[in-house]
Amino acid sequence: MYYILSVFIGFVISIMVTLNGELTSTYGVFLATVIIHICAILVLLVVLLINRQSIKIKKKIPLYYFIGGLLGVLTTVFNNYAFPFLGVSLLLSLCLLGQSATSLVLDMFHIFNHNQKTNNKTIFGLILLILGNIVMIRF
Amino acid sequence: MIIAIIVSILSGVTIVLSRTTNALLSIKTNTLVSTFYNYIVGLLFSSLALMLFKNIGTTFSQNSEIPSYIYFFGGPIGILAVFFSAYLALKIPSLVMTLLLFFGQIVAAIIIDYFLTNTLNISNIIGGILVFIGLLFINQK
Repeated sequence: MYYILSVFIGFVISIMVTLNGELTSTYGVFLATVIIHICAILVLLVVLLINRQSIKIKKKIPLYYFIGGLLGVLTTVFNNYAFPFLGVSLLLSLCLLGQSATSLVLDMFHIFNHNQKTNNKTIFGLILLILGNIVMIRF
Repeated sequence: MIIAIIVSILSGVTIVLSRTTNALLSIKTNTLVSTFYNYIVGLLFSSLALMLFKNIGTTFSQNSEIPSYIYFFGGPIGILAVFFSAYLALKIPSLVMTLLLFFGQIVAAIIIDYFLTNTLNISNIIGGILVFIGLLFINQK
């Protein structure tokens, strides 16, 4: 059941990138990104209301904890920009290459306290990832 | 084209970094509240970008077959992805989840690209398989 749900969420991500990309072709990258965020916040507010959840934060939280929002904007802007040039398949494969490479670098330098070892298998995997992307770009 | 390739790879970098910082924030609050602030900060910065920079990317023609209100569901279904990924991460091994997520993504993506361009791209399928095997190696313990 969890496996089917995982595949389904993969479907959802592809559909999301497509819808956001199509929104961009109508409104442009930045306006589309604003619209995407407003739509998401409206839905989140409904969910918060249903759960009777307060959005107040009691503890003092350093400002850099909120940087995820800025990074999320960059993700959306990058995807929206690339969509009309590359299509969904290539865009998502390249994105996955970026994700894997970043995770590897974070693990290598033990940033965020990950303790995974990088070995020959991971490097071989990364090379296959790059190859796969080259095949998609070239042919 | 080359810029599109570079920013696509960069989007992977920002996904991992934002996932990590959001995890830090959700420890202080919870997933729902931290996601809310994530989008509020996002709205702030994207509004700022809209005011500061010239809007780009409107020149591409729209696929007229689908009614346009459907396009507005991209943001909301993104929340669905965020929540269920967080939920699934606790239920199944991250290796299995990474592979299944990518499997779902690439199958849906190839189907979507087929409908948008009306051509079945064989290289996308071969490339997708290579990426899948690559992931298998990267995530092996």
